[in-house]
Amino acid sequence: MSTKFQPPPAEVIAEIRAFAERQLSPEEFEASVSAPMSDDEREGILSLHDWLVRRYPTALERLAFARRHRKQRRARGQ
Amino acid sequence: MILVFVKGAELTEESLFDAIAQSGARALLIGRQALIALGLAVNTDDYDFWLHIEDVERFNAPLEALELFANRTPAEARGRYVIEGDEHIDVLIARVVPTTTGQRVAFDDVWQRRQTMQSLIHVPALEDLILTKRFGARPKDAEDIRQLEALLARTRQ
Repeated sequence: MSTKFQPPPAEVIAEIRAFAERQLSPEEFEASVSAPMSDDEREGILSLHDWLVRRYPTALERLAFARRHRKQRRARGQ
Repeated sequence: MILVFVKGAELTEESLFDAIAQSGARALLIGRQALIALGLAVNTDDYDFWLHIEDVERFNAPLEALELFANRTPAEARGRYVIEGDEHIDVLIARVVPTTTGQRVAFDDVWQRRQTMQSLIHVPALEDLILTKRFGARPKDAEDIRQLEALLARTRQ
């Protein structure tokens, strides 16, 4: 039996957002950028890209898809 | 008394980018919306534009018809300002922006190398978009650079 998705509390979301938006030191940043990329990571990025471009062939369609997705997230309080 | 609310034109991607294109402003879509335009799957809540320093007024005017209003007048807008309404738009205005490693990135150079999508959307070339991601040093910028580099490596094959 599935249960309805319950978004985390607003303060938890705000905390996660602040963590993702924090400034890294130059060393931390370079380490993140230049960490070796596994074949799985690369394939994941490129296959998702290919799907999105196939499903929404133009830039305007992709941006409109992102807007719909954003509205849904906001409606769920995420 | 009867109150009548008149809503302006509905904001869509087409109306937004059409208004910007018609304005003639030199405006580059940067940030995560640029990644989405290129087909990369990322989440974002706002738009980011890098605007030519002389085109602030030209950029803002047609957006008002879409009920998007700047938080500063063109005379006050220095460095960055925000346009808000149904969407939140962060606008960067600078001739040159340094990366976190001190590399100077000039708007005019990036504009010259831009790629234009559907005759409406101007996005920096992949190499330049990666540089704009080095204006900040947040974890999500690093994540975006990795995605852009994967795409760039494939286009070079």
